Amino acid sequence: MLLVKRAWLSVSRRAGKSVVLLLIMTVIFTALMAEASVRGSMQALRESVSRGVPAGFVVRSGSGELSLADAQSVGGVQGVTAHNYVRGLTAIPSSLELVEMPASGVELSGDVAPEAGVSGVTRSDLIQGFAAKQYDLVEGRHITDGDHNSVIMHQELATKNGLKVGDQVTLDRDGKSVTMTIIGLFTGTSRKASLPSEMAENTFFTDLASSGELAAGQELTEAQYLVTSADDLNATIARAKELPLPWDTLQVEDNAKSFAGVLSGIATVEGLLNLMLAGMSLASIAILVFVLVFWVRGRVHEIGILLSVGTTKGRLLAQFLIELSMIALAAGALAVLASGQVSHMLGDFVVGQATGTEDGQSGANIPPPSFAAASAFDLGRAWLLGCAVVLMSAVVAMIPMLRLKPKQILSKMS
Amino acid sequence: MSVLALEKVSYAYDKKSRKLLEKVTTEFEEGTFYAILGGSGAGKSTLLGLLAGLDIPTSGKILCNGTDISEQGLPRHRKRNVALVFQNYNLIDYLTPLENLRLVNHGADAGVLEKMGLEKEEINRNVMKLSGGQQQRVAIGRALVSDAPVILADEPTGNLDEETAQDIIDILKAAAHDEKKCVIVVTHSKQVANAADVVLRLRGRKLVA
Repeated sequence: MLLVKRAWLSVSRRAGKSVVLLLIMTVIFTALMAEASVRGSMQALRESVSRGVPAGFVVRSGSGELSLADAQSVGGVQGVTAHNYVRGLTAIPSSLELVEMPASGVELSGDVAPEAGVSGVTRSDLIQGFAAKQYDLVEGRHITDGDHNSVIMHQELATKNGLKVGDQVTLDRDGKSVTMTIIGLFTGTSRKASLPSEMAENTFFTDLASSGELAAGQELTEAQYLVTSADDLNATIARAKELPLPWDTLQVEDNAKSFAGVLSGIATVEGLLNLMLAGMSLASIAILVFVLVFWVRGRVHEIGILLSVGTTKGRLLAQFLIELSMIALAAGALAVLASGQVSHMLGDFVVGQATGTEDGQSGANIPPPSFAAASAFDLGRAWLLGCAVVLMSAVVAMIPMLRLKPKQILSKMS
Repeated sequence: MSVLALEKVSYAYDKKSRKLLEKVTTEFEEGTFYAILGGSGAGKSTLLGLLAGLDIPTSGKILCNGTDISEQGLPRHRKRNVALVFQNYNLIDYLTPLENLRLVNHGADAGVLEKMGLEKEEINRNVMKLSGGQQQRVAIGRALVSDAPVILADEPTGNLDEETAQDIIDILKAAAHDEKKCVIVVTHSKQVANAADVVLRLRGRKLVA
């Protein structure tokens, strides 16, 4: 009889014992898969932090002025990998009806002009809101350096005014008027807005040149710079400060602090997860060895018979491992179903702990943390780890029996 | 022709124990039904275990078809050369009679069991639901389909009533005479001894006729 067939007959016809093992393995696999899911959430959070808050620094006008030439000179410093120059202002969109503010209890005077927020940028994808997934470009493309008379606007505002990508909008400010083509639509909301122009729905992202035409010579509001890595951040800022710029009137702010807390939280949780995994693996091995020792002892009769008909100990071990693998396969499938629920509960809690917030708002423009379901690869890896634990436990449990001579085993039988 | 032989075989459980067997030399031939008698503790089952390759002698050699069984490997000896029948049947409890036969021969069919008096329905029933006599028939059936030239039986009738025991003796005798197997039975039973072609006795640590 083939080894696999014998293993299957043993598993299926000794259903009670198989079900006990199935339940134990399901609990172990569920714990391992939940751990993999939580670890996946931590990784997703880490990536989200890196994406949302890539290492960099911002130079703001402060009490002085930040000219485009000065900003460009900083952009040429070694270590700077990308830049975005921003000119923030307000303007009145011609013939457009703005999105109204939700009821906030603040009454605006009827004399307040219906102004929209305008951000002239060289790369809209580097705007914090887009990088942190607070905003999402749903149609068209981003503003890039070299664009002219181009604008990205909120989808809700566009819908309200019957506009679409390719249509034109005109912005007015202090008697100047600039007409631009809509190249993209975005969605998303602002965290805080006390005026309609501060709402994401009423914000226009234009190319820098168009904002310059509207602002009539107004200098930049800020310049954002990304650096190669967080490790290079301080050195790059130091190199920038060697440039002959009016640093006493400019503000320089790096963003290391904004993600350091979260990364430290992630590292702490990951450390705990590693400890938990090690503890869980050892506990699982101990429990399984205990259960499997009895499982093997209960089969001493069968072991003796098989040895007496010439089956080698190696083939005996192989049969038992195949049986356990069959049960482990079923336990893996059950654990995938069970771990989904457990992971969600555990994942959201642990991610919240890592970001130091209970409501999922991390403060430093970090995207709201959430549970990320483990990938099939992670679940597969957890299952393989579980199988390794099971098989290792089985080998440990069988060692005392395998060390006996066939005659000693047959003596135990009688 | 000698199929199994003992050459000056001695055995003790350990160095400090007294020897159970001392320089035992004998030969077993095919087509012959042997009965080995001896008192309790004389070493009958130990001798059978040595012949089966379940244990190794303290000194001396056991030859199968002229080859030392320890040289060819004991699992191989148990698989190819000998088939064991025990007093308590030793069948695998989650298999049917036919599946128990297929442990030693993938191609075994129900014919052997039918010849030994099992009904078709019994052949596919769980083996533990058979009577003692039926289980012993299955155990002997397993020995017969194994193609091993030697059948070693340890008190095969010990748990059976006289009538069933006679049936089992007849089956073993037929295996020796019709199938040309070398059948060696260790027993207390005079019924078995009376049916044997050769009766050997374990006396004073020696095997004597």
